[in-house]
Amino acid sequence: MSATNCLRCLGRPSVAGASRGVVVPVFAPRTAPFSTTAIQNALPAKGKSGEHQDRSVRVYRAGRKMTFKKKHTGDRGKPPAPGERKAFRKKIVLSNDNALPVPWVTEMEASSLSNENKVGTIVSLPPAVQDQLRATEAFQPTQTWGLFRKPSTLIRKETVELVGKMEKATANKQTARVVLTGEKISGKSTMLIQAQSYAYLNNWIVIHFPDAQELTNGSTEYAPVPNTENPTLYMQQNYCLKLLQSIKKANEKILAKLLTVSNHSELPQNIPVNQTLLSLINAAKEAEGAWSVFQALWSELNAHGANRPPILLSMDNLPHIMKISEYRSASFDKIHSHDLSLVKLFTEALSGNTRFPSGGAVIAATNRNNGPRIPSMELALKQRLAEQRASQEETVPVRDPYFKGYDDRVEKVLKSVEVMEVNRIGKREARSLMEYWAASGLLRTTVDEQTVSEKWTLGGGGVLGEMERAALLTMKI
Amino acid sequence: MVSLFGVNFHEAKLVQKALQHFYALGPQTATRIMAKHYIHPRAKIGTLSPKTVIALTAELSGMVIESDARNIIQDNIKRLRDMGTYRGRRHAMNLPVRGQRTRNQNMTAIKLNRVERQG
Amino acid sequence: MPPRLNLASAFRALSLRSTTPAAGPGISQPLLSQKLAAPVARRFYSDNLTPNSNNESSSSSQIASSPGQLPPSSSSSSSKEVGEQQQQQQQRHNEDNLDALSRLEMVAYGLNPFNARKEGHKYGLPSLPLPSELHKDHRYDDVMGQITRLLMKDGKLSKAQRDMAMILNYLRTSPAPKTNPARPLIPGSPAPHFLPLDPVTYLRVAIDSVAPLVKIRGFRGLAGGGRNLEVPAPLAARQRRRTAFMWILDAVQKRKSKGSGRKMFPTRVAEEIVAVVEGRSTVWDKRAQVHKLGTATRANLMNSQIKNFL
Repeated sequence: MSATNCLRCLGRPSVAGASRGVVVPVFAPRTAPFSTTAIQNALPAKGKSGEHQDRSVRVYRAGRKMTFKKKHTGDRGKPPAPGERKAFRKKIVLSNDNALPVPWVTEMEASSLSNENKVGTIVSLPPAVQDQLRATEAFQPTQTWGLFRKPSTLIRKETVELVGKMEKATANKQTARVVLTGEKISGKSTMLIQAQSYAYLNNWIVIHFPDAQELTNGSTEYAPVPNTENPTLYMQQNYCLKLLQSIKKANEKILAKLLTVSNHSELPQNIPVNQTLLSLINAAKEAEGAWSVFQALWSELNAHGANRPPILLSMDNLPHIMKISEYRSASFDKIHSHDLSLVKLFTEALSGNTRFPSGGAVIAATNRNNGPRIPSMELALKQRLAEQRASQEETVPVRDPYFKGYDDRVEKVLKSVEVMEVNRIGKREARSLMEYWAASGLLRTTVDEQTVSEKWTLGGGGVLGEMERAALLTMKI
Repeated sequence: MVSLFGVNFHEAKLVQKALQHFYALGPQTATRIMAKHYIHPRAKIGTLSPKTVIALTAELSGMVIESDARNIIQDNIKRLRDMGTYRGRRHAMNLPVRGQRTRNQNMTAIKLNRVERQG
Repeated sequence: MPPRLNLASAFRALSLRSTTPAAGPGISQPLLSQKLAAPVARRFYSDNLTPNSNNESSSSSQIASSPGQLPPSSSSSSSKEVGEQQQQQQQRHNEDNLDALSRLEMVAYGLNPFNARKEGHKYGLPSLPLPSELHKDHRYDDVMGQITRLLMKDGKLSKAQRDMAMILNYLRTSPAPKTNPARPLIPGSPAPHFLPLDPVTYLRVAIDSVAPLVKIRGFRGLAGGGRNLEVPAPLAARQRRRTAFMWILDAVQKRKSKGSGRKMFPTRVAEEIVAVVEGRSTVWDKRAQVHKLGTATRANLMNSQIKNFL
């Protein structure tokens, strides 16, 4: 009977039991017979009220529990309020009172962006347009608006080309569908700003998605759109509300003139015929119902025979809507970005399935810094470029047969878009830009051929952002 | 404060983390629960609608978590102990169960292993 | 034992042909320049692959002897089709070759073949001696160079330079500072309204104004009873600036970070610099304290042991 012997020699009453003079049975349910540790120790330590105030750390070392006093760190005071840090990061300053006003910079007019004679000149944004661009979050904190007296832009060769496309399309009641590509900080987002300014000055309706990332990286609320099957679409009500408010702010004057042509009884607030579109937007007070209001607005804007203004639909950071999103369906499948209803609205327009009644433009800019690599998108854009050049020597690139990561839906969307490369600027444009910098008092050298050539070369051969870094963001002032 | 399954959470707490607060509910299950209720990955618990919170509580009450899950583990250990196995004995002695050394680095076992295991 | 076969020596006996064999008359592939019928840009001597025509055999033999030149292949079969234009071009190439040859000869005689007057410079020559900013180690202002390295963390100089550029941009976009008469700036500093226009001077003025004149050295045990004997010691210009900027960085550490992103740190440093110029910074108190202590401990310089030491 070795087992009993063994059990007898090991089965000692626990300390807690012994103190009370109770004989603890060997297989008592609430004791650990082989252990001399009291039961209380096994239970999780009860938090004392003042425990978090003494800055001591308990560590197990060499089988013993040890307590160390934490070094007192200085009191940092109250942490920043929620949203304060983000507000600092996203803060946009558009003027610098220390910079000198440049006499030859004129204000942008409705026709100046499409005028070929104005290539290489600097024009400033009118204050009204500044407010509208602010409303759509078109300005970015990484851009150098805050250094100059007034926010101004350079009219580039590409600007005139892009605006020309917009102009031509609306003249024929067509939709220009353009994807802007190009190197890092070569000015794609600024081109979007210019396209938007043109649209505002010519009384277009502008709907701008400032960052496609916000739609797909799983940071806004989502829910399935009722009565959609195969595929189920998902609406993002909070984002929708934000978008509606920005549309309202940016296009207030035009929307106040446009009237509804059909009755919208499904909205939270009944909107009859002949109400302004502004009141339609105002019907969206809360996130709930924002998507239906947006849908109603979109159908109103696209109503045929109602004499609607042209529409500009633009989006920055395009690659983000070409991937599988971070959202999951109820059955735990990943949702493709194109199944998100807002994204779908944009891709339908980009692929040419939506026709705007008075024409307009759909412009998307790719991004190179913080964009996912989408092989299908890259391939499609290369194909479109090769087709546009239409030369004999260059063959249209095809899919790599050994690569699996292509996405048919992405290629379908980009089947017939125009691709515009935002290239490096020429020395003539560079010179006029640098003369503007010098006249603003920010570049403290004489602008001659040598300095222009130097900064142009330092800026990667005319990459505009790199030139700015070389000339304005430098320790040598 | 939002009460979820009888526990109060701060509004700024991520839903994912709040769900993982419960014993026997890990990242995988938490993500699945969130997908089922259409809660986005970065949702804070304060932004959930009361309806969703009730649905989540109902969902959690049907799951084997917290004391139920602890009971299962305790039953398993108790069974080993009742059979008089080596593993049961090692649990009772607060020592590593699966043949690890005990000369150094056995703190996790000393903290956790016992017949009435809590953690 | 059979005699060992020495393979290495056997291979060494094989002759290696290092030069390209001259192409025979029956060569099928035309040369690159013959393929390109269009006129090519003027190139240098070593790139010239055009074969010489037969009537200029004297010059071609000269060329063949020079190093770096492929032996000319006879192009008798193709020369008939060579057009007028190509002949002219060959003429030009030959002129180039002669020019290059004459230069080579000059090099061989130890002369400098480069004629600046003839060739010219695209942007002219810099006037000598070079200003210090054209030297890679002294391209930035001396204060800027020193301070950027003090800003640097983990050896990331490039990041420090970016931060410094952001500091300067903050200074030049901020309004003119309101100076405090109780905290006078260094004599000779420009008027406050001028400072934002020249951010480098702004930074320099701020640092030089709070830079302490002395530091306190402690001599162990000389004060009796094992106590330190504190003695003021003068600082050099670089040391003064370093001390001042480290104080500023300490004050920046205490400033609350109210944001995130790469602009936060430079903004805090720049705010502190503005505070220094406006006389609001705690760095001024530190400076006054050091100076006060320095004045008080002046007498300790007369200690005999210190005298001997110094």
